[in-house]
Amino acid sequence: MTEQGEPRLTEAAFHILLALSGRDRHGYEILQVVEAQQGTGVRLGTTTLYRTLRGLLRDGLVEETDERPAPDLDDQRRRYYRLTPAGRAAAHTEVERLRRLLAAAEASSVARRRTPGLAH
Amino acid sequence: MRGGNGTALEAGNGRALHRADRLYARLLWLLPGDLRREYGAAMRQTFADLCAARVDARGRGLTPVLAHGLADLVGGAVSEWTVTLFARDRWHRSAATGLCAVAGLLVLYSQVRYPANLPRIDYLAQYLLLLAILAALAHGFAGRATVSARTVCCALATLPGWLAGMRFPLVGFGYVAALILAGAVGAARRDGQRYAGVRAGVAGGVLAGVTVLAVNVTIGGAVLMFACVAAGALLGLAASAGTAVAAHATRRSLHP
Repeated sequence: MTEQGEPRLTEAAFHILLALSGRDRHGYEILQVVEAQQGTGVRLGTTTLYRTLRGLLRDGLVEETDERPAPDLDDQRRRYYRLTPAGRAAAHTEVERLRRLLAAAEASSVARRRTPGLAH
Repeated sequence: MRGGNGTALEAGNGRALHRADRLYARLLWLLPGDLRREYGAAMRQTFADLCAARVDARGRGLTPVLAHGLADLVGGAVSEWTVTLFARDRWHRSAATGLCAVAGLLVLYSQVRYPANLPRIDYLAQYLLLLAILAALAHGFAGRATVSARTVCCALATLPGWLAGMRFPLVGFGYVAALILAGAVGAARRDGQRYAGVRAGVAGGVLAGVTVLAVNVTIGGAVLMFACVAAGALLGLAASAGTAVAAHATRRSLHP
């Protein structure tokens, strides 16, 4: 739980929110962005994607949009998703939480680089 | 020459993609109905896009995508079913599943230990319980999530076949077969869903197998019993083929 009492985003949900932060996307585009652009080594499966999207839709963090590209560039089975203001806020909260976590990790002995010859 | 070779490669590519799409579409039935109905088409499209992006001209490169996609699908299905079965509003379905397992074990135990006592009324009650539960599960499997009075009536409707089968196995078998076929066609026509007929047919096959087993185990030996179970399975296949045709005709009439 975060300090606001909101349930923490799962990793998949966070990645999807980040992928949608730029513009509306359909499922395959989200997978592409998560895998290629974020460069985190995360690879979402199709089932995980839609199960997570269903949860995000239910929580109001993402909404489905009716705006579609031209019919010759589109497939009717595709569904397009958009980040809501609540989704943007949730992603921001998660970013802040990770930033604090990273700061704590860097301050700890784990993140200190070992100096050759001094470690015993 | 090169053009012909290119066409052959494209054809191989297309066949591989088509096979992957069909496999994925079939495995989507592992998911609970609500998720599948809501997102099944989109999932299939996304998976097809993913495969098309990874496959090369010779149809290679699909294996890692398929492996990852199918593992994700099976893992997701297990998670979804766990949530679904233990959800508060689905308790009756979970209870039916548990009761079915208990009834199945009871029947198995009775057959192994007391084969001569099968015609007794307490065993009859046991079989009826099993049939009612299986009918409820079949009904839920075919698209409805609740155990309704109509479902129990359907199970009880097999009783004449059961009783007739004690004396005339083929009469009982025919009765149950007709009942299942009618129910399967009705389910397919009512739902108008893809594979509804197949699902109802498979459920019918299971029911037929168990019912015929119950009928014949009282009068025949092991060979007859297994022959009847095989006949029940064949009946299920026949019912599934017939109802798939009916479902297809219904879809065509709904979406010409």
